[in-house]
Amino acid sequence: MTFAIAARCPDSGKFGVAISTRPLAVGSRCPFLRPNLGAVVTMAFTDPRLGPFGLRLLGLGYSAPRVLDEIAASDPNIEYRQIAVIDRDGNAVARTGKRNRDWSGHFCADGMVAMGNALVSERTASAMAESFRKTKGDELEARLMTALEAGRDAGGQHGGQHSAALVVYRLQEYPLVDLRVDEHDEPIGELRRIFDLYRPQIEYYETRPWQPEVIGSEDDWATRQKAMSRP
Amino acid sequence: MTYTILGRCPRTGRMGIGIATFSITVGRYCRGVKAMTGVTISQAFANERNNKLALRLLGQGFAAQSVLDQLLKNDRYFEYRQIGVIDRDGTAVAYSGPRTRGYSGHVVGDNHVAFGNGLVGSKVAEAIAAGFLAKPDADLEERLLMGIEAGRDAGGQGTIDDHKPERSAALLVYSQHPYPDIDLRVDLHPTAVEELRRVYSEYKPYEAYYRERERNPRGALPQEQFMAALTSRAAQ
Amino acid sequence: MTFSIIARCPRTGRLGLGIATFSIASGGRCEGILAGVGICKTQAFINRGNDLLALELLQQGHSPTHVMQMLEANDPEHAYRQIAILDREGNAAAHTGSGTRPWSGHKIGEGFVAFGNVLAGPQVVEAIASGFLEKPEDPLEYRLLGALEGARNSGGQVGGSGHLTERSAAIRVDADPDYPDIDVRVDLHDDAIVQLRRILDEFKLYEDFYRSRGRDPSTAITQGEFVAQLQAKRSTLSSRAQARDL
Repeated sequence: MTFAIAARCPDSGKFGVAISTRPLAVGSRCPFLRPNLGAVVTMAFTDPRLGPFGLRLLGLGYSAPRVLDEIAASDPNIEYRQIAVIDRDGNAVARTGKRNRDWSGHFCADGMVAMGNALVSERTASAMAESFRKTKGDELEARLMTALEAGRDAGGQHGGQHSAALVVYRLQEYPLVDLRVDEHDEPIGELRRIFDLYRPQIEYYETRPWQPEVIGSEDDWATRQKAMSRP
Repeated sequence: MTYTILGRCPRTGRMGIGIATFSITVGRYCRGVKAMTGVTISQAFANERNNKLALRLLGQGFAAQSVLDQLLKNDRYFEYRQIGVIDRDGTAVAYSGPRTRGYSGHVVGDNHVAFGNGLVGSKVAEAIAAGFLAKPDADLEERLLMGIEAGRDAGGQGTIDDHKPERSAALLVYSQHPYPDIDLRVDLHPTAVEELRRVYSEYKPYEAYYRERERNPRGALPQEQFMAALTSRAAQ
Repeated sequence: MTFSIIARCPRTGRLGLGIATFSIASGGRCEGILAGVGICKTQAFINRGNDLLALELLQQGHSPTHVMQMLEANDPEHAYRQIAILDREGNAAAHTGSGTRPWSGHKIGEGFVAFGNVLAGPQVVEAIASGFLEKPEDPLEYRLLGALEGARNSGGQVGGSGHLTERSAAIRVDADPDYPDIDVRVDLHDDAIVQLRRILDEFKLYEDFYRSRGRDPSTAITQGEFVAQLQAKRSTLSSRAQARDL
């Protein structure tokens, strides 16, 4: 009972996942990413172990389709899972096990997978894919956030959502964006609220490690940014 | 269009590649060697990811055939590839995909595999193997180079009406170190195999000198003096 | 007796190395480059194990400065080495040992290290840097080539018996850890940098053709056809040039 969108940005090399579900703390079990390598989303009757496993297979050099085949061959309960894999060449594949509840399925495009299970209808997943296509040119994290909202607005899943997460990796081994709403009546709205606050600060956090003497606090930096952007 | 010899010395475990082709800068594709673990190359319509994937699988302990099977399973365009693999036990395998241009084919032998595509005929691959086997007591690098020269002499690439010269070539040998023993390339030359032989012949006398001055910098002769000594010795 | 540059492209994050030397086949001793991790090049009296060790340490997370300290602690003859290290963000460390042959030295710039030994003088290292910085809009491989040409043009290498030509040269740029982006070498030539430019220029004409026929072989034309197209283009250009001159 989850819907998710995973994608790779070919220009920046970012990998990201936006995901929402009824159970709590979806961000702790489902999205797995490594910079310059790929993304694995493991959900439905989630086996979180498949995330690191998939990443290690990507690390060997397997392409996404092969990684998915290996996971399927290795997992006796594969029909209960829904899994997506994206590799650094932009190959994006998914597998929706037969025991997933209606509506369940996935849409794959170049560098993107939109999928879900126990959805109100296939519109939840297709709306995410459509939204992602339409926002081409935006930053990956913004595109994923907007797509997740589109999935919710198209109906979401049976019983509604209670947790959501947005994770994006760029060059570093730590995430560029890693925001979670672990329990909330409207987790995607709450995720959006936090994301909008956090987004202007992303560059600050990326620059701060190199310039501790000069950068100052987030507020100092934000003030300087505003001054620079004035005509 | 390329012809290649992968070879391993069963006595020392050294492994290497000899290669020549109509393409330019072929050396860039020759990163598929890991000391004491395996040697591999993917050519024809080269899948650039194959070499490192194969080395990791060889490093995990997979045998050559299994590595080859996995490379093919990993690749939607596997029919366009030509791949050779030798593992740490010296087992050699090869695959010449049905969509490689040709004559395209391979000759698998003991601790070696000779293969090529865009060749004038099967005799080229056979000649490479025979060239490699001609002097079993020679250094591996010499044997690999002789294999390539034999391939050239047997007609090389193209067709009778449209012969394609070798424009780049490379020779690579690893022993037990993580860096190569021999790594020589000709990236663009009208007769690349001859040029590779020339570079190799000039380089060989320096090999011991380069190694020694790394190990013993204090006692090292300046390179200009070493070269002058070489030249005067040659003149005598 | 070498002049070299290691650098990072600020636009793409690609890592690159350029080298030219009196020695033969220097390009075959440049294993210390790994996209997403960094570059280490040891020259002068080379400790061949240094470069791969440095990559391991950078990969573990040590800063270039700390990696240099660890290389020193690992090497009784550290004074005879010249070493440059760059991590994937462009942070650098450099060492020119007291036992390297003069003139030897290095210059650390923004995302690059220029370094050399048995040089005509410090102006050569300055020329590496200014050659690199001259055209920032160029792709990294051409900036590295500009650095090598700048060094050659300011005197290059000078040993006990006078000027030493460049007999080998190489340029390597990596974007992906599994395979090189640009990898061109001249292993033995009377004028290695001139030849290197010639090879790089030629390779650039083939670059897209080679890459796309590996990625999508089903639509590839034969190399023979591609070469014919190139030749046709070249003769069109030269006949146009001739027409202009007339």
